[in-house]
Amino acid sequence: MRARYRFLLATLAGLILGAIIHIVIILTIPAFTDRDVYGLLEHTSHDDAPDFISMPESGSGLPWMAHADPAVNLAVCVYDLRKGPYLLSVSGETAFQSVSFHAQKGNVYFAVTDQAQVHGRNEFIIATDNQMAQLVQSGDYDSYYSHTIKVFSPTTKGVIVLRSFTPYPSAKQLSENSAALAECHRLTAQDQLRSQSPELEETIPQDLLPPRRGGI
Amino acid sequence: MLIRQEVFQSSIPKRPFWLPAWPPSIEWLVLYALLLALIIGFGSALWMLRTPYPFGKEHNGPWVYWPEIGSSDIDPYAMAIVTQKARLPLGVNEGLELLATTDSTGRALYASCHYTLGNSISQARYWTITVYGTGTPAFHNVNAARANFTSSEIVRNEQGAFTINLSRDAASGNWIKLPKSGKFFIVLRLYDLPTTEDRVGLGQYRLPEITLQGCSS
Repeated sequence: MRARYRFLLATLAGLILGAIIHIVIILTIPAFTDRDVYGLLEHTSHDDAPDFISMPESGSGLPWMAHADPAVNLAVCVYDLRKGPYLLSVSGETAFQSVSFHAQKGNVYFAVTDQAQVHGRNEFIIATDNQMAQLVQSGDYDSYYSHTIKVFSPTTKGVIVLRSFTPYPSAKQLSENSAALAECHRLTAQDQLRSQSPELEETIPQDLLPPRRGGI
Repeated sequence: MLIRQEVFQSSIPKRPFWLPAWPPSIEWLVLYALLLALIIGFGSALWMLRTPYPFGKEHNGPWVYWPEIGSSDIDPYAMAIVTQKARLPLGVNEGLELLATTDSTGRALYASCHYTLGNSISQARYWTITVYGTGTPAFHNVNAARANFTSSEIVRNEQGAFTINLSRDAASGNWIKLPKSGKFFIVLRLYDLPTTEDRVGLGQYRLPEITLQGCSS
């Protein structure tokens, strides 16, 4: 009788310990996986020209891309804020465009659609809490970037996803161009200059610009 | 008395090597508890990480969706799946993905059958409907036959309603070609819903019905 009681006690202990192991595994997977979305896309980012990379439907290194929406052009920009905040500029010339901001592990912390556009553009500053506080305190934010949306990144590394909707197959080129024209790079002194003199925009070759809306 | 017991013991079969002598020793009990914990712990964790997401599922007809995956309210299981499978979920304000693996009566979807999908969808700025086979490649784009429709392309009737034929053989009107064989599933994506509250209250939304029209052998 006593032996049976001990056996049941051991079973109970095993089950409780099993439940603890289960919880520990689930909660620590994000911390121990380096094949997360950032890890898989990190190689697409270069310090000189970190910009949006259009993802092909397959063979992108992201297995689920095979199940992505074929009517959406998906472009990603991988950021690392350790050397400074990022500037993101999206022109939104397609029927529908949205931007989602993902922390290093892939979870969304902010998302916005082209309904938030100002003068046909969506501009964002992505920074950590400290970097943003510095930008605001130094007065740089008010002087140069007051037209941008402040995005506080919970992690120093992350991924920005730009989705450009293609309502008809013939509009595919338009959404690809739109993704190619989107900018995503570390804040530079040039950005301050450009925000002061918008005519610099004119130096972009016209054939690089997507056609006006309504041209579809 | 002694003789009787010997007779009894010789009649029971020899115990397997992994079973301990009864009563079990403390060492055996500890080893047993640890092994049990490891099997239960790892087994159940791996089981929960199979897709789709285990919690927070909402239903509307044949469609299922997970309203909290694209928000900061994401649960730890979904978080583990998103990380481990390197997914980029749609954000709360961007849109919503709905998945159908059955028709409106709850039967699994087979590529050898003919279905109609219709006839209306509640408000969203754009929507897309895409059919995926369960084999590889998942998105079958054979012979330029279409596997998806967007809300801009669809042909509607006078009331603004629409019907999409899902079958292997060509059909008139809106037609999506099904994969050669096996099961398939449908993903409905609603982009730019009017407000974020709407995605939680999507139970009242009008979503398309999936109706079985017949099967060929």
